[in-house]
Amino acid sequence: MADIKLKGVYKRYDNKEVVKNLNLEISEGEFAVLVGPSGCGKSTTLRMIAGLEHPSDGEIYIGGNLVNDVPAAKRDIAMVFQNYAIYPTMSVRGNIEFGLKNRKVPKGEREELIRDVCEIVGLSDYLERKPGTLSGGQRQRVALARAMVKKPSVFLMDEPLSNLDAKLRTQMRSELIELHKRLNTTFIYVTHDQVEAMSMGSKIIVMNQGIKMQDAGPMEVYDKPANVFSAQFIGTPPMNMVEADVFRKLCQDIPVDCHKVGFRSEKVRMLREEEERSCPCVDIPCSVITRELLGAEAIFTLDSRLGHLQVKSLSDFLPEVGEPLVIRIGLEHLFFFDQTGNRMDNVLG
Amino acid sequence: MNKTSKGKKLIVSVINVIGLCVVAAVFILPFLWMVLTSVKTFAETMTYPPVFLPGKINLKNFANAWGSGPFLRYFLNSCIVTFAVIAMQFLITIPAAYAYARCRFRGKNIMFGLTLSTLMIPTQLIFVPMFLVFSKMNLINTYWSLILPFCASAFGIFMIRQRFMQIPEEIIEAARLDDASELKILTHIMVPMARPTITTMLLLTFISRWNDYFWPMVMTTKDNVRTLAVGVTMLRETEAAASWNTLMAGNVILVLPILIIFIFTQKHIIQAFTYNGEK
Repeated sequence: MADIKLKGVYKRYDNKEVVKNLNLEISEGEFAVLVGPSGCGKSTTLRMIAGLEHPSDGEIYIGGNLVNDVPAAKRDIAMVFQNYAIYPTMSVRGNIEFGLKNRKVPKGEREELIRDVCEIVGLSDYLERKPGTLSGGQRQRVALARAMVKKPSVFLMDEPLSNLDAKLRTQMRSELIELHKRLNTTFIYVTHDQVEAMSMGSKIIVMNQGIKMQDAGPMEVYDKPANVFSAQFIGTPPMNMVEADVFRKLCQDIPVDCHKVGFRSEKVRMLREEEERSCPCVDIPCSVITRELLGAEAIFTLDSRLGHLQVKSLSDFLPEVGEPLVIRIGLEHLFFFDQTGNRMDNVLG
Repeated sequence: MNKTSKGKKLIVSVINVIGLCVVAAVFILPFLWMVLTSVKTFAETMTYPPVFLPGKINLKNFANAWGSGPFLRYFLNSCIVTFAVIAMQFLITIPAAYAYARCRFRGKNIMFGLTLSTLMIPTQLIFVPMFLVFSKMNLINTYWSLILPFCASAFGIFMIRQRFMQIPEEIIEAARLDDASELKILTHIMVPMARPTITTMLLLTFISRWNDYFWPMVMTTKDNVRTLAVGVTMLRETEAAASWNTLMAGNVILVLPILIIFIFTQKHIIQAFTYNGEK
């Protein structure tokens, strides 16, 4: 188990900065998730921690030691790659054993380690099989076992579930959470899927265009997004964002220096018609453009004076396309953002 | 599917099969003719019109061919030269391909271009200067004159480099994280993954060296270093009235090792030339 610190880390390729002044602290045993859209620098950051890329500037510490010039194999880390990167010509056992052999671990000890790890990931019956004969999920487990057997102080995972089908992904997600609890090791996990980030991470690092946008616990990122990007990236559907000047037409109380007003689609109540207000709130008359019925919930796209809005409904009220309705947002659920895109305190809620 | 399109499909596949049979016959017939002639009697090879099948199988031709010269010596020489070239190519071509595929060094592209450009120079153009060099080094009539010029193969380097470049970078990174040295990555990860290509390359080398007639003719004048291909053609010179049955028996002896090796490596060769997608 080790903590990780990044101080003023930059990565440039041909003068193009892909990671800019990244400062990060990940405590021992944490499950940190680097999340952001494609090309935001999250994988590059992970690869720099792994030692597969050299930072153009800045310092990287693992377990308190500066590792900038330490080769990847000596950093006491293990990595799981998106395409598994298992050795196709070796058996499952050969794959898991390869690193141990290179470290000259005695045979008896190797056998024991392989047996233990394979029991955890459920590969005991497949040890002599070649990767080509395994399913996607099993290959993923081989990659995990290969990483686990090294007993590293840090686990690095680069979108390890993105090649799996939806059902298997959900299953593996909970298995990874369980594995983290069991191993009690620092995990750094890269994904572009905010659901994975929210469900797995004890700390979420939101990145965009090489810059860290926010770095906090999942609920804090959800409840107190630091800026417009974090607010819209985390949450499905993304947070509704309306220009403050437009929103003022419905509610004059919003702060003067507010530039944008946001509200989450699931914090909205849908009403057939205007009702008496029991709490401070804003009512917006709308009509339904599209509706997506997902069983337990439904997502509506609505047309209103504020533009198009998305609303998630958990109630039985499922208006038809074209049907007029009123949506009600409690003032405490509004987020205000200033000119620079940073969140301001909600003085109304 | 309606009847006409089904009929059309049948016609197309019949034409395909006929076409393939014609092409196969073009390739197989001369080979078959050689094998059949090698078991015919001298009289049968001379009759007109020629007979396709021999009256009875006459294996004496093989003994005659083998006994008409120092064929065991030729055979051993062919083995020594061919396997020495294969061993040297294995040692030189694979690391060179690895360097061109995976390493960064100054002048890499120019050197690779130069390596490839050697493919465009025909042997006939360089054999005189080569002969002079070997003669100055007193290597004429030695195995070295038959081995050294073929130790590195530009075509082999190119083929294996292309295969190495297809190997996903992550696999090599994973091996690096597994504390594997560059040599270990090459020997334990990349060579096994490129095995079909390497086998094919070495087999092509085997065929070209084993069958090579021109180079041993230029570089050797003595039986103690001459190879089987030269020995077999000398059968024609020794027997004044072209004894085709003996000559063909000699040819069968010549191609038999190639045939045996091909049968064993066929699977790899097909793999090397088919698209190989890795997940």
